[in-house]
Amino acid sequence: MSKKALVIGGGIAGINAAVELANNDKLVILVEKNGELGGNVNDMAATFPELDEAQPLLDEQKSKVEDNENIDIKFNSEVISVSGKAGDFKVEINEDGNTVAEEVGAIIVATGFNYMEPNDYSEYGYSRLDNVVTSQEYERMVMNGDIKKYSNSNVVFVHCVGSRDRVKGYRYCSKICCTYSAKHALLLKQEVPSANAFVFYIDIRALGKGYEEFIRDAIEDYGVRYIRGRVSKVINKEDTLLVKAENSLIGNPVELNADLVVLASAMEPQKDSKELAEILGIETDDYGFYKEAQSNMEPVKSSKEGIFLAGSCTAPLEIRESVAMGKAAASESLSFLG
Amino acid sequence: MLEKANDWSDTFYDKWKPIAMGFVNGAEKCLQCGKCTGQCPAAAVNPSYNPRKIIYDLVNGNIKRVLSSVELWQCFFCSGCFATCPVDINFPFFVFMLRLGAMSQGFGWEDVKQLEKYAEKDYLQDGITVSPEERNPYVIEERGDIADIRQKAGMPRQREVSDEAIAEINMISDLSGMTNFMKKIGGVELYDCSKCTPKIEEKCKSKELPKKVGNVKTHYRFYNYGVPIGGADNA
Amino acid sequence: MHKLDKLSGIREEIVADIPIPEEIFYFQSCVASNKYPGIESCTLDVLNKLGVKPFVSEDQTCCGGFVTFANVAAPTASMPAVARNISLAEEEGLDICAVCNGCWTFLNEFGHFMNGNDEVKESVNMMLNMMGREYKGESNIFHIGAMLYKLKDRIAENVERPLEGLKFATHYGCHYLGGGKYGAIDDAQHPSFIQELVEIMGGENVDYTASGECCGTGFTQVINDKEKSLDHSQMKLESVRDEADPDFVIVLCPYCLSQLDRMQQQLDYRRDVKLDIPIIHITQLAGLALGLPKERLAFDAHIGGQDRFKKALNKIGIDY
Ligand SMILES: Cc1cc2nc3c(=O)[nH]c(=O)nc-3n(C[C@H](O)[C@H](O)[C@H](O)COP(=O)(O)OP(=O)(O)OC[C@H]3O[C@@H](n4cnc5c(N)ncnc54)[C@H](O)[C@@H]3O)c2cc1C
Ligand code: SF4
Ligand code: SF4
Ligand code: SF4
Repeated sequence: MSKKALVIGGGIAGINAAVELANNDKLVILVEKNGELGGNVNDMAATFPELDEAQPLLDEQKSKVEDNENIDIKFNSEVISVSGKAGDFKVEINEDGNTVAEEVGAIIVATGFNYMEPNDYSEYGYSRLDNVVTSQEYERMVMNGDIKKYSNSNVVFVHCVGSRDRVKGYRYCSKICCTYSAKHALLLKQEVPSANAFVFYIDIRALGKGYEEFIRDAIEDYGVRYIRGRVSKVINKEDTLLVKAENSLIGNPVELNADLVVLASAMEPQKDSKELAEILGIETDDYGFYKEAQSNMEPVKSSKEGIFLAGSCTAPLEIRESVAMGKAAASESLSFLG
Repeated sequence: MLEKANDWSDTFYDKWKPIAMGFVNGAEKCLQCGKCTGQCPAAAVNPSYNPRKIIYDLVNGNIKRVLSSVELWQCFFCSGCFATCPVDINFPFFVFMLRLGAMSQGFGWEDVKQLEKYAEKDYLQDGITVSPEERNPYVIEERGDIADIRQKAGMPRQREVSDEAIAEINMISDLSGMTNFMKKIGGVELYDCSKCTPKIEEKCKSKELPKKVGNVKTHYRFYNYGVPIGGADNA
Repeated sequence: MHKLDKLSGIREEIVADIPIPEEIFYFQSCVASNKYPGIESCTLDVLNKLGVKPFVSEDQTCCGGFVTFANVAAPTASMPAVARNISLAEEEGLDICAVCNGCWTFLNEFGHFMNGNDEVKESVNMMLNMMGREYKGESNIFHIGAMLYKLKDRIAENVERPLEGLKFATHYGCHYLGGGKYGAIDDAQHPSFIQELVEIMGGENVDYTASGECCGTGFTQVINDKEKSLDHSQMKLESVRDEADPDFVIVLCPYCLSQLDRMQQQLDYRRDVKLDIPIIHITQLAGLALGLPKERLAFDAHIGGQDRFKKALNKIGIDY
């Protein structure tokens, strides 16, 4: 008799893992902490590098899970204990307040990332000044049309907030904010052609198929202006904001009046990632991202047999890689499901 | 202009770190992000001052350029860069130690010379670095004698520092080598540019100050990180 | 406007660690003593009024920060000088209260350095032993601004001269917030504790763009490169004048006070820039609210803003 599989986290990675398993006639329990599927993609207006609308794409993915009778979705639920070994795990799940026990053959962890709230970055005035928002808040502003009010305005996109920062943030690079900031600048120019978009960067990291071209298009076709230099300060100047930075290719300090400042904040591990690692008995790296069995050859295996990793709970990742990891984790787990 | 990176010193920073008493650390962590320069008050008013470039040269070993630069002496010591640096580089301490390094190579004495009186006359003689004597006549005109104001406020006409205290700081100065150091500064003669002749100017441009006094051989500094708008004479 | 209600940067854990002692070693500042004696008289009176007895020592010298960072004294000379001054407070078993950002960071930073570095501490003590002193590293060094913030409830109880109808702008000064980013009680970019004190005293806060900028002394630049120093002060003071137009600018540091005050005169003479901005120290602010007589406030030592001083002080009933 074949065993069930447990997928923890109903983001884009978890969804794809669950669907893949269901397509292989396995029974899947999908545990989602919140009341809806989709994770961070719920906050997304469009996706790079093709600028497809994100919500229809996500709805299509969600429906694959919701309409699937092999998948038992448990909303508002969390895993509270795990015992046993690969092929024969006993898990307890807190489902909406009630504890349920299940037996599963394999576990896929797809709990995703947390988007850092840059409250410590007082130099950027986040949560202190009006019109300073995070990139995630900006995606919402695109969806509900709030960005329309920035016609004839200067909008400044600030890279590496909380990433590449040993003091107040993380030493790592969040990998995709270069590309999504280009997306944001591009969306601005499409929706509000009269607005000016300025992007302040340290290095441009466009690490993916079509990403470099995407950013070049923003510069070449849409006139988005890129200034090399990490923003030093955002301060209040009468009714607008004043952005201070160095133009480090020229070597001079620059100031820029801005009407909206968008902070590309870091993708950080879920706050409770180390606790879940403890429950599962798997390892994390120093930050709290889950650690692979071997970083080159075993990208979806955790440090414990029978437990697999998918998506941005392992590192900052874009959708495409999260999806691929979800599917890969599903196929690797098949061997423990009998 | 072409630079020969072969000539850079790859050991200076490593050798220097321990000498600098642990005050300077982590320059190799610098991301060259420019967050420091973007808010730097000295960079805002000086055309070629840029802390990021100084760190870059330090780490990469182009130390000659740093030490012989005018820019090294333009830092405001405001610590604004330290406050926002993402890797916690305490740059003003670097400047402080690098200036000592520059002096050991004969650079920057003319700046230090101007400050000599604060140490010699005020600090070591009175124990107070700011003298009660006002050096600015316009201030006296506006305000009068500070001793009167102190008296009106019900305070002694002058703040007293005990004789023992002054003797003690002088002893510290002798023991720690500060007195000797001051003697060296005393030996430096300031070069008066208002009395410059074309001949001296020629010499001055070919690097050295014409005068060599005491043990200190002083050198002319250069705008090593770019010539200010209006030319180098615009200093 | 700063949205203080949204997120205050005050570090409550540091404030909580500040004791309210019965007595404290008042560390005298050179600039205060010899240029702005009102800071000195106000510190003494304000501390007394708030129930903290200031202890003054004639054995205390300058902290040594200026000559050190002006490179006229080697750091080897500064360590023992710092240790010597701190040891005076240790002899009395007191913590130190500094009224100057420079003294505060310098004592703190070099003190910490010696505490974490036994070799240096030993060699420093060898020198101090010769004069019968010893540095132990036991006294804490607090900034008067932090002390006043800690004592804000007592201030509230003792306000005798509410500062109603007066507008205040702030200049915290680089070496308190930026240089002291690990020891200051407030956030380096959006500080608010002075504003809170002003509110307690009944005054109104006004803001200006350059509030976070350096005063412009640039430490030694005001001596070595005066034009650049003036450039910066001009930018700052014009922002104060045009955007905030305050009755007073509150500073935490006598050196900043001296720059912002005296450069007004120089800007007038050299560049025909007209400014009339009273710059006062936080202890003078407290002195105003706690009802000190005008002689103790000693505003006649200030150069800039004398017309505005008169207008503002008359508003709260001081015949100036
Ligand atoms: C501003 C922004 C813009 C972006 N734009 C793009 C783009 O244009 N193109 C692109 O490819 N990528 C983009 N991304 C990246 C994209 O959001 C991620 O790649 C994607 O969300 C990763 O999916 P995931 O399933 O790994 O994680 P998440 O989306 O984080 O999903 C994780 C899910 O797990 C659940 N969960 C967490 N912990 C637990 C637990 N303990 N128990 C149960 N459930 C749990 C969460 O509730 C969530 O539903 C962007 C990201 C940001 C921040
Ligand atoms: S992806 Fe780009 S913006 Fe994001 S942390 Fe890396 S370099 Fe910075
Ligand atoms: S802010 Fe720090 S890391 Fe960035 S360039 Fe300056 S010194 Fe280097
Ligand atoms: S300390 Fe020097 S380099 Fe740093 S911001 Fe201030 S002036 Fe610039």
